[in-house]
Amino acid sequence: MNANATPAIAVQDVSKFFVSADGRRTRALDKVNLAVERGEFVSIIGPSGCGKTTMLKMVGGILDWDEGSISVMGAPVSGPGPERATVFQSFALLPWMTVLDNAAFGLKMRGETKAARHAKARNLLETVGLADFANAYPGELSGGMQQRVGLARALAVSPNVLLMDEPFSAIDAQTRLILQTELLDVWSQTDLSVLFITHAMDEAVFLSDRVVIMGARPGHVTDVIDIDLPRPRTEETRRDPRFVELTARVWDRLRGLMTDERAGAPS
Amino acid sequence: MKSNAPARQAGARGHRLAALLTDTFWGRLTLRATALAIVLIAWQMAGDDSVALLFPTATRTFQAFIELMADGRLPLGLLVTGQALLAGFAIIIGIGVPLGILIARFPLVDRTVSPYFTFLVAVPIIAIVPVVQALLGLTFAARVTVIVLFGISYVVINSAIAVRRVKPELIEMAASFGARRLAILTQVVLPAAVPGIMTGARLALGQALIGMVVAELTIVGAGVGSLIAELQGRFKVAAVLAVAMTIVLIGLCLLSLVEMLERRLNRWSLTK
Repeated sequence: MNANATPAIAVQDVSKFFVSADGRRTRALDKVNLAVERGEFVSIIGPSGCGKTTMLKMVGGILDWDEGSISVMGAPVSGPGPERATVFQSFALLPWMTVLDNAAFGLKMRGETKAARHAKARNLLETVGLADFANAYPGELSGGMQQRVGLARALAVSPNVLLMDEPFSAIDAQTRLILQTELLDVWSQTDLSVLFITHAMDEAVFLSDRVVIMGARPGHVTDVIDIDLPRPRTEETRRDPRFVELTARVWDRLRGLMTDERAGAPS
Repeated sequence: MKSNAPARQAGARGHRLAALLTDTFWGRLTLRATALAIVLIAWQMAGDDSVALLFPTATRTFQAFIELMADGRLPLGLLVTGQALLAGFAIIIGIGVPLGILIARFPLVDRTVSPYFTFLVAVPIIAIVPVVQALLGLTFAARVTVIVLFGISYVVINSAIAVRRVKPELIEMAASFGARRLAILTQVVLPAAVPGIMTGARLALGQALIGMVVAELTIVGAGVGSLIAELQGRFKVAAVLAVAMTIVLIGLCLLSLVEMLERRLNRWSLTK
């Protein structure tokens, strides 16, 4: 197989068990299969407890799994790597560092010199529209601005794969719509492959090439829905009947999973 | 309605005066100077200088202070005491902070070591001073040990709590960018724990100051505590008061110094 043909992320038959305090093994993920092609934008959506964040952490290399295999850019995952960067739900900014130092943190961990990492970080703060806030502290910024710093920090290390763990769920609804459009703008100018976790259906549909739906107990993939909306996607896209139809389809599948949950039936 | 107006105006003037006294530098200075003058006058009136044994007036106390400074006994005492305090506080920080970090990171250390520090907080340290004296004699080391015993648990316990409270997502973030254990410790865990560690240091300083005097009152030395004991033995009440007040004032200065440092280091944690 040609190296370029391998997907950016390939998850094959991955299972994960959690051992509870009384020593019982519960299956958290059951034979999950997932592929993100190069340059593709894929979202995972599902009820809480379906293991979508667990999935992302395993791809990120900060959590082990028990069965199956995960590879990124053709190489098996064994810990975090320079070709991956994560954007966190809670922003995970260091409050004692300036915005510039936060954006440069990943580069610092990679051992880049101060001059080099500040230059790159400044560039990316410009990209996310925060050039004027380089010397501010995270506590002085709104949630939306803090997550822009989180995005700049991830992009600064020039990853091939961007992992986003419900990045906009702690942000107010209006700002969130703006950040979605900005994210697509940034992404379209790169060849980044994105794995995006969310619990917002319209967000998944608006952003993605494909939406992966996961069910809970144990976590497993139930559906993959292709989003054939044209790009570039704009505010107009949100009024497109096809957008509404696809969002409704995602909701239908999810609602099915929620009803199962209410009945207490294993899905 | 109209008859109320002058009263309201007077009320507003009163508010303005109060605001002037609390909100401006000179206002606050005036307020404090007045309060101090009232205390000094009351002290002067309460004192009785007819017999040396009675509660001294402010002037007699101040005279005693000048005499003690002039004959060099107070400066020498402060120097000796200061050495013990400095050594004790350095040990408290130097051992307390790393120990607190180890307790927070390794359950085994926590299980074996933590009970002793909980014990140190719960027990009146004065009760174990004779043990220290029996062990180390009437030495500098014995006095430093007493100071350490008084203060160290506050640094250990607060450092451990501060390290435990570091948000796990910050550690996860650093790990995701490839940070190794040492980098996570120095770049994330320690800076995040600084406010808690500083709180421990401030509490420990207060305790160390008490320990310093206790050590000298019980274990003989050439410091201020021993000076108090000696002056007391000769019924020089004014001199005793002068030394005690000097210790209190220096203690307050040290504490506000640490508080200032704490505020400087914690600026980021206050912006949230």
